[in-house]
Amino acid sequence: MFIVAPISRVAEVTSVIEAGADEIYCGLLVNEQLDSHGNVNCLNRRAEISSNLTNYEELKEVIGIARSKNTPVNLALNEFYGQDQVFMALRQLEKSMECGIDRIIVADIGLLSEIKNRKYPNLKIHISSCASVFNSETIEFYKMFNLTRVILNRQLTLSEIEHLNRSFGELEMEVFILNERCYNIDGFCTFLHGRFSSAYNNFTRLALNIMQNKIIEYIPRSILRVLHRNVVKNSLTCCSSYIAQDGQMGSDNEVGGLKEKIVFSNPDLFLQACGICALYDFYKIGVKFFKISGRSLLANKTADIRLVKEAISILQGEQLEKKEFCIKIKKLIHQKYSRACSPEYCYYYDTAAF
Amino acid sequence: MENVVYFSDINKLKSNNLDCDRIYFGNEFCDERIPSLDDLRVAISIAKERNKGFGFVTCYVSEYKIEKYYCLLNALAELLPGSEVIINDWGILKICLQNNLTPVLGRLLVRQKRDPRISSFMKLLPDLSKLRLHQTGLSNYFKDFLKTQCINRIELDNLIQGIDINELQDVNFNYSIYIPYGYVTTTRICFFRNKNLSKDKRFSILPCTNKSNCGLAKLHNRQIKDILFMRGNTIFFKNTSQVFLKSDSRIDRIVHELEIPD
Repeated sequence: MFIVAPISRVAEVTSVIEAGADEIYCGLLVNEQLDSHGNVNCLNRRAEISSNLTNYEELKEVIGIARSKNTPVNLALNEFYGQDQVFMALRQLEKSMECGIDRIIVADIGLLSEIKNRKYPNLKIHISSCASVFNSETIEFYKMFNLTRVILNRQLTLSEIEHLNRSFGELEMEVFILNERCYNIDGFCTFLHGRFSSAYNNFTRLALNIMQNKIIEYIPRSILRVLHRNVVKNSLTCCSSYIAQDGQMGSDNEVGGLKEKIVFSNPDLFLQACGICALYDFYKIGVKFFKISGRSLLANKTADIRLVKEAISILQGEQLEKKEFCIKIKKLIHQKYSRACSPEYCYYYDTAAF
Repeated sequence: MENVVYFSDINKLKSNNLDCDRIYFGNEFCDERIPSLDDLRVAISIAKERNKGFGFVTCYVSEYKIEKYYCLLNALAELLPGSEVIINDWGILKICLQNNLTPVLGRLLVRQKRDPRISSFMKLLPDLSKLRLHQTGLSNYFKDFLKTQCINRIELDNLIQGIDINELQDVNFNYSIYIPYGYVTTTRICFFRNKNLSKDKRFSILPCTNKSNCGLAKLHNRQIKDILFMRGNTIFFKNTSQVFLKSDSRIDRIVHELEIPD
């Protein structure tokens, strides 16, 4: 059972691997892109500079450190691209391959198709969760692009995952295990993520860089948590609140009646979404790769990895019934995060023994 | 310009006077609402009787529901060989081609940026970025791939921020545009299905209990100046502007949504 964890900075790589990550993934938001597109239409769906590496030197360093610890690095290129962006994505891919990247996470058919045409023999293709795989015919379709792994959509039930995993023994299957279970299907959701502004000028980029690399570790986590929550709430349209006016069938003119305040993805719980209890089932059905989502602070990243690692070692070390395992996990979550398990944001509710 | 009327409910199709050139029948967003074989047969026979073109609309579909499409597309190929099938899940493409049906790229597979906030921050953005937000998000590599899969028609939403007509001059493709409702996002966690459940179950993927009556709500949000509509598991914007009609492009079909699709 392998943990696939995110990094956003070079300085995080060692800590993340030492915490127990078996693979890491990252995105790049380079100046060329910021100059032409600002932070909208980012090539890896993470619009914030702080979530990304910012140049190829950093990527090279990340790969160097990871390789010295036998840890593969996956590059996310999982947005959907228009014409000028697909050129940018291909440039980023080729430069990243020069840095040593040999695994990418892709969703766009144009990019997949051109990668196939260009024949990169050593490149491993992971189909992103944004490619919206819900059934075996869709996996068959993507197989024409010589994929090695499918990252399954967040909105699959455990029994659907089991079925797909059984049907495609030759492929690696990766599932989400922690954080950011969005209410919407990411591959079909067209809300933009992030707070958008004009192309970041050099001063802003420098300030953000200093903030990210020098200052952030000195700000108390409680304050950062509040800041992060507010950024999420204000930048993700699905995490802000709506007034819903209940309606009737038919034309929108007929809508009227009760009003209700709703939030599709509650920013607190959205960030804490968890599927660790389902490790029990994944272990039994043979799913091997577990993605920790999110690009938050290093301390959160390492805590998440340790939690999943500990859960895996409980699973592998003790002969437990499902219910006993879930009880242990709940205790563990309480002990690590001083909060109760939130069934509301359970990734695989159908499996959890609440 | 070809006019299409889109129905997801067979009874509404039966009772409509069909002042159009073509009918679309089916469902894009919810595999709980895939039409029955009987309803598909009725829809096809109405199209034949009234001498209308026909397009079968399909949705993204889970492993346990895809069986239905094997049967439906097989029947469609027998009853109306070569019919158009609007695909919104790449898995449907193969079944479609195996049955010698004509695939059309549905709007869920077209990567337009539909976030209703876009028009409010558009002016802050660099030119290339702005352009992308008007475009389909289909590169030439993508379009070349579509040709290899016998896809010649692409379906678009009528974006609030406007669409880039210049992008739609490619003679290899024809385009359809849906009016007035464009989809923004969709989910398998149906708000209306789950809203009366206990809090811990509201985020679950559960079978539908009210297939004949999808919920509808207007959504107001302080970041978004336009009102959104939530119908069943999908959120829509509304745009009645038909500026695209004045331009010379390859848009040659309008898909009229008489109500918010479900």
